[in-house]
Amino acid sequence: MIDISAAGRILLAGAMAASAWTIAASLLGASRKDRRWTQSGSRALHATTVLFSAAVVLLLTALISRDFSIAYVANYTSRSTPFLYTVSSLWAGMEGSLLFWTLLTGLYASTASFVQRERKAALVPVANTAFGTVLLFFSGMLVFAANPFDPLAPIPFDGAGLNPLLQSPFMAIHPVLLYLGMTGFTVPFAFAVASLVKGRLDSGWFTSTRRWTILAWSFLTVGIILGGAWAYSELGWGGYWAWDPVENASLLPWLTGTAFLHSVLIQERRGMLKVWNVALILTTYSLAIFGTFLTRSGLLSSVHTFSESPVGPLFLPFLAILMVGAFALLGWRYDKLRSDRNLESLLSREAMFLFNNLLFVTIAFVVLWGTLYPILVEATSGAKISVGPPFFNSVIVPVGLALLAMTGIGPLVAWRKASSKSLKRDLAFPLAAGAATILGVAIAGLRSTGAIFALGLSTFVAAATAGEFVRGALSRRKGGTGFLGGLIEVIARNRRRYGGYIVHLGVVLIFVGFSGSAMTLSWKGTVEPGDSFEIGRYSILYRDHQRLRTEERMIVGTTMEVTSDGKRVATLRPQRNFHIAQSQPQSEVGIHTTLTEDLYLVLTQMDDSGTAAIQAWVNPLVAWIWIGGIVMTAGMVVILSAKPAGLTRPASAMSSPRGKQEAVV
Amino acid sequence: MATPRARFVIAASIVCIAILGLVAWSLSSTTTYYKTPAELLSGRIDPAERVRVAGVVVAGSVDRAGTTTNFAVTDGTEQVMVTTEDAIPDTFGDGVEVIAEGSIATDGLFTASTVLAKCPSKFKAKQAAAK
Repeated sequence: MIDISAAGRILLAGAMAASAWTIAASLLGASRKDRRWTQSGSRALHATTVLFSAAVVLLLTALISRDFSIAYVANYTSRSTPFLYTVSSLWAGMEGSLLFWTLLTGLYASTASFVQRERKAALVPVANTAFGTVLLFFSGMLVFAANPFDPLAPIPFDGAGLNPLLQSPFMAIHPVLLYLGMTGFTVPFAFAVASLVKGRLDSGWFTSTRRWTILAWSFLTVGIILGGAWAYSELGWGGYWAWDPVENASLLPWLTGTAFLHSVLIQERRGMLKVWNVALILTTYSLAIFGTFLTRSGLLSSVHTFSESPVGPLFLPFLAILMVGAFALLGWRYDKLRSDRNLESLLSREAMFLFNNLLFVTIAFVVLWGTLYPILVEATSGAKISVGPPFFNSVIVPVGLALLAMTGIGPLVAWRKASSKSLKRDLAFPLAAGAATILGVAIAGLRSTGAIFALGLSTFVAAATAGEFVRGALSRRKGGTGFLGGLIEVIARNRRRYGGYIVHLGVVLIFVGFSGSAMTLSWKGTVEPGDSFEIGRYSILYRDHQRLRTEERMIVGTTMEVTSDGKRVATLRPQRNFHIAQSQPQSEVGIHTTLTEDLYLVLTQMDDSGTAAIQAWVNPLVAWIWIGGIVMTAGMVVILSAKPAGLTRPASAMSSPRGKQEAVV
Repeated sequence: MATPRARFVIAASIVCIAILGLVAWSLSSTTTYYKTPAELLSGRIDPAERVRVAGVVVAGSVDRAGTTTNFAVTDGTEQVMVTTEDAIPDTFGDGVEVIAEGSIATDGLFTASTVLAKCPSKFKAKQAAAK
């Protein structure tokens, strides 16, 4: 019988030593240009990753075997926790999630470093140093402040079990995707730092890590959308996004990361914005680390105590070192980052991308400000304030709509200098379609100005984007392949471009879903069995109630017959579970989803005679958010299926002579 | 005629100033200051005034009847009884930090029109076993 607690501690300490060795050997290798040191650094990096993998396997083993002598296992599982959620409790608590996060960082770092070892041989040792630094910090934190292998004495007979609100399939995968997203930005970050140190500031550093960046961004996007789906289906308050600081923490790196994905296209194509691109990826990674800190520091879950968890105070110096170091490098290399060219016209693709970046970064700033403002105010004046959804909505909705409009216009504007004539020609139909939609929905009786405008704008963007597909397909049609054949061919040959447009179409659908929130209906009241109530076009009959007690939970449930215009629509069973061990109530929401609206029923309370307190919402168009998410995912897959730039057409080699040498080395 | 670069800087500045203005205006009109239960019970709050109170739900104080929920919030020293008809998310419960918005009657009962519970941070282990 091995002592899991001791074994875990040894693995973590070993990982810490290996990451320190990674830093030292890689630095020596880089400064002495000595391949042996460089290789030793690479091997130490892989060893770090292997040690973290072993630690995760060990913790999983402890979780699955319900080894309650480990405090983490006792805190997050119990004998009755189902297998899936026993596995997911690996990332449900602070210590485990930090370990998991570190493992993912290590996996990204090792794989990227291995893949690039020939093509970017000059950058790899410096990138390894950056990887090693991040891993050293996290392993140090795991050893000293948040050790998931801490023993527990006396050993309890049963564990506390996983918070039932987290026992949802969404919650099993949502954090994994978020972590895969946030940690994935380590790769472009490390290579950006390496190219700053080495002074190799052509576009090579981001073209060779582009697929990593897009992969990370894709995971983050899907993770955020699934988080919304979880909040909507599990929390029982009728919404999907509350501008909660924890949600904002995941949105921040997404916003700057999205700006980055767009702005590197200008550098690749026109040799502009070199400083900006480096700054954006440094900021994105810093925000990812910042988000990890925010959600674990206790800073947000309680504004009154600065930090109740021991990891909080460790994060801030690390973040400071990371940012100061990275931006000092940027300042040092500023001269080498001059643009090859200047902006030629405000009516150009470059200018469109600049405005796109301006808006993304401003939104990120607004979200950051709104999240931190209460903490700043309390720290400076002692006054306690809250900044809620009204603030975020009133600022971010207009800026977001402006960004949506640019999604339609931007791709139609030519590089360097667009001719206003061709732009007018390409915009005529989308503008007409948008105007027709506004007129149509207004005549159809929609009363919300915001929703009418958002729907019109969405139609405009969808039509403009569709125009790109149509023009592309027509241009390929000469071989007699027909329209559909031409469409498939043009997408297959320009996967990054058309994949991007597919992502844009997904964004449009998500905005359609958002616009529905302006038309939400809600109802609440107390009903007896046999009563019925009305909301929107629905009439809901409370037919029956059930009451059930198991060992773990008390379940009260209702059966609701939903009819509309005399026709039966659905039978919904909103229930309320009370998890006894955790004294945690949990709603099972009754949702009837259609493409036009969701009927959303929540049972908030029921007494012995079956008198039930019900809350009901009609949430128009919500389904389009999830459909948009699926379309976005399809677009990401198309983008990622493109051949890596460095393998087929060495973009870096074409853009500068130095890149050519690098490709040879 | 200004260069395209200069024109971009001017346009970007206008956009930034507009958004900053929007932020400032929105912050001043939407942020709410909130009080602790002790401040609330100091007797200096007008019953007609809308205020927010922030605190932790006292364990065992939650009582639901129909759509009405009654509970007590505490800041560690004083506690205030709150009654509400608002939709309360599942994250609400004993020991959860809440912000309630409403007004306080002269008898010390706080009637809340909205109750916000902090998002369940999964990083805060449920302390049920320890209790």
